[in-house]
Amino acid sequence: MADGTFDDYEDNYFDLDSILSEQQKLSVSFTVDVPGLGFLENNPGGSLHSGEKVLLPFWAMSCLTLISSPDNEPIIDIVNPKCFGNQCLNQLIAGPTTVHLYQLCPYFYQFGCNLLKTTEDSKNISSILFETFKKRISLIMDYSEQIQITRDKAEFVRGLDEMERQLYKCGCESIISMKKWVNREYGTLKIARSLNKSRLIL
Amino acid sequence: MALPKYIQQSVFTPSEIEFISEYEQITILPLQRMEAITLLEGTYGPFRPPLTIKVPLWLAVTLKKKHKCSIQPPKWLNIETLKKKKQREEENEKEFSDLPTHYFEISSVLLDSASDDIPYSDEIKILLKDIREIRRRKTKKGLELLNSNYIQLDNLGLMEINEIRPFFSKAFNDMRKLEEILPRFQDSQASQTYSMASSSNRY
Repeated sequence: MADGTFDDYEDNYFDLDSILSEQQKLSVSFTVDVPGLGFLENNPGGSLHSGEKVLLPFWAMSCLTLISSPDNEPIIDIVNPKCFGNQCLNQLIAGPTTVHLYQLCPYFYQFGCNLLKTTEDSKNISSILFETFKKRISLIMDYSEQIQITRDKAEFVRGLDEMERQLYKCGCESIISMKKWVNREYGTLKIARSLNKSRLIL
Repeated sequence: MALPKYIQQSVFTPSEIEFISEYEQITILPLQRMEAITLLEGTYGPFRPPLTIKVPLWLAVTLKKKHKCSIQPPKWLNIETLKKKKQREEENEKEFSDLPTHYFEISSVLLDSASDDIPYSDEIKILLKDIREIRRRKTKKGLELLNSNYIQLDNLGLMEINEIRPFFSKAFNDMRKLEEILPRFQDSQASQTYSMASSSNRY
């Protein structure tokens, strides 16, 4: 597992989307008092009391999970974020194509993957994510082929998360370039303008 | 990452695919006597009118534009064969019928520049459009059944593959990412092998 995460890290080091997906905030509570972190609960200079809920970005949280207290307990408790709460998961099971993922979390899938790599998957979130993606893919392809915008389509496209948006864009681009080719809009090879000029001078 | 978009892309543009397909050989009937044409990549000819000769598609189209030859359409480009193909395409929901890799490019080039040499060219245009639509519907269906390990795309033309490549490859990669976190995947990881097989992946 450690090996795998390292590979991912290498892969996405410069990937802006991956950086942004690690900025998602989670609410976390410490199981021990942390000296010097009091500013997180409006108590600058003091210590952060155990049990207090604070919002931490994912990257900070993932580092903290590696540290354990003297009695070998993890020092933080993670509360599942709202976008992976029971209500949202039930919605995803009931109608994967009707959920507004972007509103839940702009980096829904990536955030989910990251989260599941560090925490335990108690609610079978991973398979729900997988099934949701599979169900939505074919609709994304359908819509990326349609030129005209209908109300359903606009609604659905607005609800795509960043990963699906890139997919949608890919589909649209290849359809457009195909259309251009069929209508012969690419034209023929021509001599570069700069070369043409120099010939005129000669 | 900082490279411009057109260098970054992993796909060909449709005109590049057309360029590749223009190297396919095609039979022409010259209309006048000509000496052999010597070019950098080869010598074509000599052209002696009653005898047919095989040349690359690009040369055939050039000669056709100058009214120096008439093109004999390839074996599959006639109304009977295409009707049969269409029928087979409709009957068999899972497989694509065996049209040549470059069928789409060649037919559109020929119908564009030499439609007077192809009998019933209008009907052929309609048939080709139908076949294309059916095949597209099948690829879309394939996407629904798809799992992250394997996809079967036999007999799909180069242009068709190129069209779906960006979408499919990205969808596959994303799906693999999601599958890596599945518990049953982690259990069976040792025995899993990945293969993305498609007949024309070499381009």
